[in-house]
Parts: sequence; structure tokens; C-alpha cells
Amino acid sequence: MYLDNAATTLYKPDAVGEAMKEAVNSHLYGNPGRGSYDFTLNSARFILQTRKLIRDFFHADETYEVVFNSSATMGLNTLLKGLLNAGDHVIATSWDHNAILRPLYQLEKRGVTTSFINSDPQTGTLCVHELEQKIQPETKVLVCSHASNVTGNVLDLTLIKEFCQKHQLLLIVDVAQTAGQFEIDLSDCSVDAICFTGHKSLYGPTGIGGICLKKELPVDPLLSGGDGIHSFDKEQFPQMPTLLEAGTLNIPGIMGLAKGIDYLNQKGVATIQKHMANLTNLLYSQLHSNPNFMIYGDFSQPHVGTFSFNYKNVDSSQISDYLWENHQIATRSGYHCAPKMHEALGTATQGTVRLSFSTYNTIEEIEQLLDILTSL
Amino acid sequence: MTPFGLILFHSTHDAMSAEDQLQQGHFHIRLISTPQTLAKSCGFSIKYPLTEEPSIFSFIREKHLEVDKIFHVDGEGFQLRYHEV
Repeated sequence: MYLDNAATTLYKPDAVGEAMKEAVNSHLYGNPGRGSYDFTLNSARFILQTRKLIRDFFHADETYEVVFNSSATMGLNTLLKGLLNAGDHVIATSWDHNAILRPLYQLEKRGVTTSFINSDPQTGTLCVHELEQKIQPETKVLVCSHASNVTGNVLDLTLIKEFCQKHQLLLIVDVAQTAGQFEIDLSDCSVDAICFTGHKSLYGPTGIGGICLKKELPVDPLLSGGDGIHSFDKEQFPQMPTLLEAGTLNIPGIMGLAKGIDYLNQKGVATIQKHMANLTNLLYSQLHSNPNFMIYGDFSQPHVGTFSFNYKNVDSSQISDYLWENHQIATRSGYHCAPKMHEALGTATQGTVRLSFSTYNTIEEIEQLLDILTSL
Repeated sequence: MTPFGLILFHSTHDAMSAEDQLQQGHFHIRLISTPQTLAKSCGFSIKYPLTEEPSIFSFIREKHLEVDKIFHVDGEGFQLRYHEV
């Protein structure tokens, strides 16, 4: 049983692998933007279609562009390091993954200052009332995770967007944990950029991700190099998406990702969200009143298919190892690259056991898991 | 050689977007590599028949397509002449 889908979805629609095989074996897909023969144009046209597919998926209008890269981590590094300079201040949150935290720590060494919004120690809910306390004249960016990868709670962006508009901040949202299982709507144009990864709940392969961002966002590119055009220019071509796509794109990855998104469009994100809620709510309803279990997160609030718990005061890795060794159930123990969240929840020593679901998990699997957990 | 028109773009992305839209408009266009004579780039341009030029220009205006420059091309063999429109 595979319950570590927040790390990566192990099961993908068959069409994902088939599209990637087609990309390599058909001998039809050349290097996009390098030549004007059919092979290169096949790739270039497919990429163009997929940019639109993704923009539509996030309800983004034509003021946005989709840039491809390798991961949400790459996207977050690109934006944070490309927008923030010495003297700037950035607000982040205790929900954030090291994909946000570590670039910020690097930037601190270059003269950028940071503030973090805390979380409630009981529920892990983000203390958004702290926002006004953190604002400074130098604040330029607010970066946040759309959902905690520990508790699975989803951040209500309404208040965050209003705050950013009021203080004219750029808003960057990490949607690695929500894209594909929670509706993301950029139609009001109040989010400047989202960073997504392909291999989690978008059901694409590893090694492909991207940014959906406002075309006019003044990002200094993290990478520079060949773009197939303007070969004599010393600087990267200053227009999206070319500005942030130095080097050859991952064509098999993009083709696989497109099929993952087709799958989501067929199933419907609202249906998937409901399926995830059914799985997590079943676990919560059966475990929250059991004194042997500590459950993390606020189940009265919107949630993705992620569920963290501890059993008595047992090290979380022992529970994960037990589940794998005795029942071949794959779960994730430890800190999930989210140190601030674990500090807030008081789990910085024990970690948590994290269960995370995909569309391929069933109620029957959760019932089987509950039988095992309640027999510990 | 039949003279033809050539539309240059600021980026390959703009060229690909324009190709997509012009094809949806059923114009007889084709993406080609931008001649190095016209731009020190390795980008794409769109070649079109001059007979369709008025309707292509209207389409470009109507769809707000981003265009860099437009040329008329004539000549023989590899000896082509480019006239900016």
C-alpha cells in the first residue's frame, strides 16, 4: 500500500508513461526553438499547447505565462533569488518547506531580511493576524505554502491576497501540495506567481515543474544560457517564458505532465478533493478520540489528502518502519523538510508519521490501515 | 520564385503563438528560420503568400499579435532581396 503521495505519486495514469515513451521512441520530437524543421516544431507546438493547458488548469488569463523547469524547488529559487536584493524584506510562514526556507536563508547572507508568520501549537493553523505586525517599509514579497505538507491544511488565500494588495507586495505561492487536489484559481490576478511540481498530485513524472507567473514580473534569471535565439546578445532575452528557460526543455517530462493534467481534467479537481476528504476524514473520525494517537491539523478547515499523527511517544520512524516491514505500507516519518512546522507543533524530536493519498487510494485501504493502527 | 511575405517576431514564443492563431484562421503560412541577414538570431519567422497579406494584417491587428518587423521577399534561388514593409 502506497501512502506517501505527498512525496511523489507512485501510480500514474498509463497515458503519462506512454506519452514519455512516444517522446523518445517516435523520433518525432526534436529540440524546440532550434531550427524550423518539423521535428523541432513538433516539440515547440506541443510545449505551446501545454503552456495553455496549464494556464487554463489554474484559471490564469493571458497576463500570465507558464515557464517550465525541473521542480517547485527550482521555481521558488528562481523567483526568490531573482526578485529579492540586499535591503529587501520578505515575509514567509512557519508552514513553509525547505524549498522556501533555504533559499531565504541564503538570501539573508546577501542582506535580505526575513520574518515568519507563526502557527498555532495545537492545530498548526497559521496565525494570519500576525501579518500586520510583520510588515516593514522594505517588505517586497510574501511567499507562502498553499498547504502544509505536514498537516495538510490549506491556507485561505483570500486574506493573504488582500494583505498583499493593501501593502503592494508581490505574492508567491508554493502549490506543490495542492495543485491537482485543490482548486487553484488565478482569475482575479492577485497572485503574482505560483510554483508547481509535476510529479506529485499533477500525476506527471519527476524532473518537470514550473512557474505560472505574471508576464511582467521583473525576475532576474537564476540561469542563463542558450535559448536558441539572439545568440549574439550577452544577456538573456528579457521576455517570458524565454527569460527563465535557458537550456533545452524536458520534452518527455512536459509530454508526461500534459497527460497527467488531462487525467485531472477528466476526473475533476472537485471530485478529487472530495475523495481526499473522505479518506482523511475516515482516519480522523476513527483516531482522534483514541488516547494513544496524537493527530495534527485542523480538520474543521479545508484539507488536502495528507494526515499526520503520532502513536504515544514512539519515534515516528519506528511506526513507519513497522508499517513497512510488517504490512508493506509505505508512509513517511520524520520532519518532511518542514522544520518550522514541527517546532510549532512540538514534534521537533519525535517527528510525525505522515500518510498522504492519491486518487488511486481507496476507503478499503484506509480501513485496512485503521485495523493495523488500532491493534498496535 | 514567387515573392512572399515574412513576419519577424521578438521571440520564438511569439512566433509559435502567432503560427497557432494564423493556422486557426486557415491562412497558408509556414514557420521558417529567421534569415540571418535580417536578424542576428536563430528564431522563427512566418512566411506567407502575398495574396493573403491584407487579410493576414487585419487578423494580426484583430488578435493583437506581437510582431517585430514585416518584409516582402523576392529574388531568385539563394539571391533573395528583403524589403521592409
